Amino acid sequence: MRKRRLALWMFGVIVLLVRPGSAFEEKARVRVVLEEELSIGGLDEDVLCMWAGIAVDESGRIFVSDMMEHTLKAFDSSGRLLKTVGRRGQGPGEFNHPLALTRSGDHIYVLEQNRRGIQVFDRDLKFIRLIPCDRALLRIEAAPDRLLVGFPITPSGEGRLVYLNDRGRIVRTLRFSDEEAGLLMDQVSYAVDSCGGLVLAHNYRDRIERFSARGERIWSHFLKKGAKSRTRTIQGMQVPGDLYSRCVAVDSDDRIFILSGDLSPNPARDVFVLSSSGERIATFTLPDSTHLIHIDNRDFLYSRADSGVTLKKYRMRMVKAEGK
Amino acid sequence: MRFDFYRCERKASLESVPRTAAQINRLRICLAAAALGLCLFASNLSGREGRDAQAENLENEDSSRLAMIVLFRESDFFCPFCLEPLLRFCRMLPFEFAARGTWGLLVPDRRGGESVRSDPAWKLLTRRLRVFRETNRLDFPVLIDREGLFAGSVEEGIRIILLDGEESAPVKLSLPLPLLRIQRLLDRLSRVQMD
Repeated sequence: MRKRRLALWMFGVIVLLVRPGSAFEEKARVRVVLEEELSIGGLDEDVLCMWAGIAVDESGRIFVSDMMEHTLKAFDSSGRLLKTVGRRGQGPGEFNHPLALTRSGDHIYVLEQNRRGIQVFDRDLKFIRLIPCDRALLRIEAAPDRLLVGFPITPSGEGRLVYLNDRGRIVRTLRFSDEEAGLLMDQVSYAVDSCGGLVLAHNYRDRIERFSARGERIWSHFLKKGAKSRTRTIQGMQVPGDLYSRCVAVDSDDRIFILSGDLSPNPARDVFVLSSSGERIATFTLPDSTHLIHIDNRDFLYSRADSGVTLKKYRMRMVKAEGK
Repeated sequence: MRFDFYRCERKASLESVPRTAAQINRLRICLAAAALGLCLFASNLSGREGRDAQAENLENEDSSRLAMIVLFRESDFFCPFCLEPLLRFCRMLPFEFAARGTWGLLVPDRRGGESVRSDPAWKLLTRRLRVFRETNRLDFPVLIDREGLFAGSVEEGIRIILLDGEESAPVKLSLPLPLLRIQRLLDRLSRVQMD
């Protein structure tokens, strides 16, 4: 009897030792405590309708694009609405589903879903100019040297990011995948780290990667090893089904925050925290589901609530995990 | 006095010149009766014609009638690519028809255990719908299909249902429409009489 117990125990130990590893199976080292700092909008307030993009400046001023209202709004650090600009249209300062925002210096860059090019505004939301772009982009992020990193949409899925200068010319390309992924399968979210490098989270593939500012791959990790993403067939075409991740953000210490996809226990709410070397150090769950997370230069976390009519700002505290 | 219309008429035609006062009176009565009969016949005839014409007009009116229902889902709000063909199509509609012959129906998403009637979801939906109509300058009213009556009809995307008097059954169209179909539809709309 004792021998059988011993054998079972040994078997358990072996199973634990040989089980495949991934970034997510590391033991948590820290615990993230969220404290709500600010809430803008809400169901009873006519402030936001469906916000999509966010940028925050050094003073804490918040810039938000609203996809349904076709507007760009500025709030002060206490959440007071300072200004609203824009309406639906194709002219300068008008929007057609403003999707993503990014900030570099005094400039706010707005990417729209149904228009090529990037509109540039100053901090007072005054339209400056349109950066022409010969291809449709899905995301933009500000990079050092006044460059913008864009993700171009291609039907075949080329797996690359483009660095654009302020005239819209491609000055560099980062190829993150050599294989042709297929329609929309190569979608990635990315964030620029403190050294000008990139952290890439593949949305429909099980992969998190880090690239140096020169475009060299530093590491690549699985997000959720073994979990299979389903695909759907629409009109004979294979299109992605489940998301592995929705969004990625980087804090001032280059810690990586990944907003979970559909394969997580709390889809669009679980946030996985990785160290700069890709090791999982914590997981926390947001109170509301969100399509993106944003971290400002003072490490406040911004997320969406109430399907986009509310914007939440959280203070993040990292405390040592108990018993670790 | 017994009146014989046939005999009177016959007599009147045969006897062209009346001979006595009694005969003249009888002839007058016959002529008056004949005139009255003719009037009655004529009025009867014109009444029948009027009714026929009215029926014909109604038929024409029915065939010229056209109503359009635009069906879309709540999830389409999150998909500008899906909404764009719809908005383009709406912009092509003549104002009069958009304002008086078109209805929009928004089908709410199925929520896990949460009914659309629950307060926050309803608030969110009505607000988004108001903003959607305002920003896109939609001229037609949009109702929310809170009972899910049309949920099955929009499973594969935005649909347009035409209730056309020239057709024997409703016509279901999916967007984007081919150019030829749009042209035919616009031709058809030009023949529509709005009340």
